[in-house]
Amino acid sequence: MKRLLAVTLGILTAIGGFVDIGDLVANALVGSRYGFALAWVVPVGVVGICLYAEMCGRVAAISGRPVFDLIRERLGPRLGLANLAASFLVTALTLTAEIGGVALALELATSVNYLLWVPLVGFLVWLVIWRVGFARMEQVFGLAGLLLIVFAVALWKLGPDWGQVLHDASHPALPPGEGLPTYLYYAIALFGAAMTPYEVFFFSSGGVEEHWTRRDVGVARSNVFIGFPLGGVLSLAIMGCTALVFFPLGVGVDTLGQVAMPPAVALGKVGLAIVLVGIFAATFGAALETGLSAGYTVAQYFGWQWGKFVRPLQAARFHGVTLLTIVVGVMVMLTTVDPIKVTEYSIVFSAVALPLTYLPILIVANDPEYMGERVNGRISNTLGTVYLVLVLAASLAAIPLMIATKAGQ
Amino acid sequence: MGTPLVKRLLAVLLLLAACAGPSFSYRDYERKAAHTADEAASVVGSAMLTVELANGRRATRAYLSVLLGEAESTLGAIQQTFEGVQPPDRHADRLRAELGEHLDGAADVLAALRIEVRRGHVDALAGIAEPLGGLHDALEKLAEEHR
Repeated sequence: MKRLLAVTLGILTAIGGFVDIGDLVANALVGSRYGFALAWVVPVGVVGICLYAEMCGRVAAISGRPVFDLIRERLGPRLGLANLAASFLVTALTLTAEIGGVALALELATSVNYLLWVPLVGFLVWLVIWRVGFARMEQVFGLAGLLLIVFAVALWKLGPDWGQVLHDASHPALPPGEGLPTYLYYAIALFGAAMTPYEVFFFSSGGVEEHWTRRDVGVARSNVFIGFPLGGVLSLAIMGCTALVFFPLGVGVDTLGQVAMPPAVALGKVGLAIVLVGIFAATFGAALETGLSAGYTVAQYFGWQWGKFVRPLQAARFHGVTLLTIVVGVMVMLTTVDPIKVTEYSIVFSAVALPLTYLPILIVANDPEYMGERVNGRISNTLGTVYLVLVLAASLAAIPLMIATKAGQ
Repeated sequence: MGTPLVKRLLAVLLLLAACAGPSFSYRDYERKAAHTADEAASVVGSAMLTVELANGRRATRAYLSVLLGEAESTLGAIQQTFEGVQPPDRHADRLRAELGEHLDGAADVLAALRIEVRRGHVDALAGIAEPLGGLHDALEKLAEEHR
């Protein structure tokens, strides 16, 4: 019974923790601009993240070490450094975007300018990372992030013609006036948002933080195979809401305030209150995850003591990197750069960095020296290879498409 | 100091950098105007939705205030970008004036909405927003004609 509860809690946390500022912005923006014509990208991204997160969870449970730790050892310091540089920069950019997202959520609730919230948000993110235990931190913000289910309720209340929705999603067509390059650019952005590198590093390091063993492979898999797809359903609900409210009017979503509008349209002030708390929880939780992931990647590469399972004094350099990344994120936000633009760039650069993140994972998950008989099976390897080709194509196309479409204009 | 070719290229680049959003032909200018009108219509449409929320008392004053403030600043940025584009001929001047009139009208309404919501006069928003419907249609029509 206790184990069942733990599994349920893990799944709920995974659902709530799946959506971050990138998912919120990308899904809402795409729904308002393309209706359901890009809905197919979400399941494609979810299958990819499930596939590689499962490998990472299994590696952590079997070897007792996080993937990043093994990448340097298995592939050597040079390739490890390329992996570190790409992953760290994208994670730091994502953290910056998450801090902006939390501040924007507070602005929407209070009408106090988000720039005034940014330093406080940065401080709170650091304080929670410093003081709160790993499991409690993950559960509180993951469960609070579940409030984003309000998007699914709003979608149902908005009463779409489900037959038409299914038809539009399964027969994607370019809306009038939209070009193919922009369509592909947003497809890559959605894909990058679903497969953000920090998610796998956090999942893997989190497994070690929670002392996973061989017996926990099942827990890891249930989190991944049930929690993440349900998180993907939340992403689709966000897209569906903006597709119904904004797309018919030709209104594009380019602020977080607009993202929160459909629940208010469908459910009034209660819906608005729930969605604002949900956005706060989701972005704050993701800020914690990205802050920790920044520390994890650097500390694991250099072989420093890391993690929240030891006292901060024993992992001073790990906490130092985390703090420094938060400070830089706050400073970038205080330059008055648009947080939504930072989010858009973070998900596109995520797509660029994907091969450097996922190829080493596939290699480590196939190494019997670390995995014994629990190396990847034929299905994992076939799908893993197909996805590697996909992420490579997305990575190569991302920057040219960004330039050609003036970042999706 | 560099070859003559490099110097010429540098001179061309400097000339290009000195122009704000150059348009080399009327057709090019027309496309930029249509894009601007499209973006402005989107902002105006969003503001109309916000006013509907206010009418139905479906959102808090703080939220409405942020949304209308963002709409005003977004429209301001769109307007500023378009005004920086050099019209290539007299024909373009007329288009610039026509679009400018719609943008000015929308900017005035959005500013009035922002001021009233921050004063707590949520009930007054619907009346102030009345011209938005017409401005939205005019912007969409202009975008359609010049796309």
